[in-house]
Amino acid sequence: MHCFRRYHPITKIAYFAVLFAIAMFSENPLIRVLSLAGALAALAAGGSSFKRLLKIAAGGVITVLVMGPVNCIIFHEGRTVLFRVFGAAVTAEAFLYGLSAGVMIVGTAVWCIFLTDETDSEDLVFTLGRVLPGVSAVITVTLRYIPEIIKKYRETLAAQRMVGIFDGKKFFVRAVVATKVFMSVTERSVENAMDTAFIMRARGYGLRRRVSASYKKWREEDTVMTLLTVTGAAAFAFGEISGLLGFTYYPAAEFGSVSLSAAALAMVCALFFALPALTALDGRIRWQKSFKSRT
Amino acid sequence: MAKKLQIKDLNFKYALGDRYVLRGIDLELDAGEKVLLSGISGSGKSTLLKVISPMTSPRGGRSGSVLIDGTDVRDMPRLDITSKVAYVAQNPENGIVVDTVYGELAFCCENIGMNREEVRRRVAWTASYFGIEDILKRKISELSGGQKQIVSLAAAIMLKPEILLLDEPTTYLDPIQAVRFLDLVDNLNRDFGMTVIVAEHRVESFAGRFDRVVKIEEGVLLDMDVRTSFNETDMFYERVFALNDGAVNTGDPAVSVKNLEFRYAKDGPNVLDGANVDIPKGSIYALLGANGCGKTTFLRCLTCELKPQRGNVKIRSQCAAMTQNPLSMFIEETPEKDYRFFLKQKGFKKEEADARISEVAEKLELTEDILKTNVLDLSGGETERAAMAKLLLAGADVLLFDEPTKGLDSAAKAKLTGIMKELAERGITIIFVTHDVGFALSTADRAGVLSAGSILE
Repeated sequence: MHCFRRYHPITKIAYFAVLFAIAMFSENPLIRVLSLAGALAALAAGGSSFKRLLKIAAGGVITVLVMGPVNCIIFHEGRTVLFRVFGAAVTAEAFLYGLSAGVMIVGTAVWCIFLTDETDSEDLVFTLGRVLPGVSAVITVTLRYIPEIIKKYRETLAAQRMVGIFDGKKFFVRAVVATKVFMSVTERSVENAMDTAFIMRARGYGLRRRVSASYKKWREEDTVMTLLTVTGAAAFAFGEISGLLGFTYYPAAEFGSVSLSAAALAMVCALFFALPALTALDGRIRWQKSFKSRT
Repeated sequence: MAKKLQIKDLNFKYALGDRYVLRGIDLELDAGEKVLLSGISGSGKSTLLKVISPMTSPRGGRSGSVLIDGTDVRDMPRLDITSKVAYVAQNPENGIVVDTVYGELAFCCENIGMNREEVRRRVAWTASYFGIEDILKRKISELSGGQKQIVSLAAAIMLKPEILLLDEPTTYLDPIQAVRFLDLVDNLNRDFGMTVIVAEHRVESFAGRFDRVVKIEEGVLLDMDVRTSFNETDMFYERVFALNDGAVNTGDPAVSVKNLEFRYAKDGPNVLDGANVDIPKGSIYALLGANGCGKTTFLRCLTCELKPQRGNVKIRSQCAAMTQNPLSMFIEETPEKDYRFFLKQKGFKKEEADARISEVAEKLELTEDILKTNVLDLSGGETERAAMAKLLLAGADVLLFDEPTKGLDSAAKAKLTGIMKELAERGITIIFVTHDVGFALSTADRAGVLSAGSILE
């Protein structure tokens, strides 16, 4: 269930801004693993199919397994030398750094997938509309054209296929035709955009300063989510500044601190990453209850 | 009392044109009057509608005046004109500005800086009035053509205009959608006393709905007395099936379809469910049916674009198809350039290509002018014929058309009928799917109705 979608755009923007800051800037492998786990849990709880999750996981595993050795080839720092290749040291620390970086990249990528699943153009238009209503109007007009261009591209390509232009043709000819189709569709879209500009004028565009009147509403759960976001951000900032969530890879891999405080901060971060999955689970439970009451 | 709209001796020519497209137009409309503006393609209908408001007027030279409630529109503040006159374009694809239904409805109000709560109230009311509450949060790209045109109309009336101008609003709609759309226009006229002008070339079908019918011919306005209502569905079953009575099957069919089954979703219902048909060589076959019954799917199965799950299709010669949008047949600027590129890909030398183009152009009455004109500047009928030429250049003996009369006026339709009949006489088999019962009756020599996945003859 896409329960995160129902949050107010500002809530979502705040959450994702903090999330990406933690996921990308933390050096701590534990935080990185928690971020990846949170992202996968969010997708799973959000209703992604098993096949989709398997594809993402397979891609993730490959990336992580590639990053470890690649980092060893490039960097030779670290105290624990595993073996030498042409005289260069391959160290356990460099390998760990590579794996950790791989986890960070995959975690960020999975969060990006979740972000696209849970946000729409209305969020962007709403956020921009408050500050730059003109720019938001241009963006929304552009967003309208993208699916139209794709649709027309497919339609025109199908029309060419139906008159047999591709019959027995090699890749190069197909590519030439496809390029021509793309060019003609783009050119016609520009022509159509002129008609649209005409309609915009008829509907008063440019007469006065535009306002943005989105239907998105601020609810109680937005306040709760924003407070949780602030808590997550504060915990992470405190952990980084105090060094409790720090981690050094070279010369030897070690946590900044192994203490109850550090564990508590890591726990807060874990909960922060789990918020989308928990929201989805909450949505599911509410749905089940509502469904049962009807049957 | 001043008339709601007065057009006095209006003349207009486009900035790049040398002739007047509107000449001495005089028209007066009372508040709440509903007028049908008829005329063939290129007669000046769209230009007249656009010239009424300075907000929609194209660039060019004009004389004469347009008055709303006795005030010349050129002396009115732009905001007043925007609020008083609403315009709905012919093609819903271009008449919609933003990417969501809600955004489209709010667009007008946002442009004039209306209070946010008032915008929300107006959107809610309009969505409820037009019955589009269920699609309010949907993306425009997910809507059908009919829904888009209704959204376009709803967005245009957000500022509660007094005059509503509609430029061939039903051209891209099927008959059922067209009737629903015009019902909504009737409601606006009845409930809010809006003065309505609808440019439309299907006079016979819609004249009965209007207080007055005027005709524009080469830029000159004439009064018409056409009030006959022509209900196409009345004669549907009686005459469509009668087409097959006199038909004779000779020899092997050019197209033979046996037990065709097709569905889009694995567990979904069959769109085509055992469709059978034999179409003789040199015949014109019309396939009719309700919206979404699978006519286009049937055509796509014939072209092998869709692979049926069961059954088979046998076409004994080369076949080529034209989609609903004839413009999609062209990937070059002009028809001539497109034909040359196409024939080059087909392996023809320049001289052979020239000869073929001349032969086909003559057959389809495509003049040198048409061949060298940008495809976007051709009329509906010219685009249709130019696209048809591409099918013939493909060397096809079986031509398939999906809604060939979409957007065509009666003159263009009559020409298309003539050309199809001539091609059939030369042994070319033509199959078209259509909503246009009148065209099917006047053009086809046999017909079928697709219903519940089967073809009834």
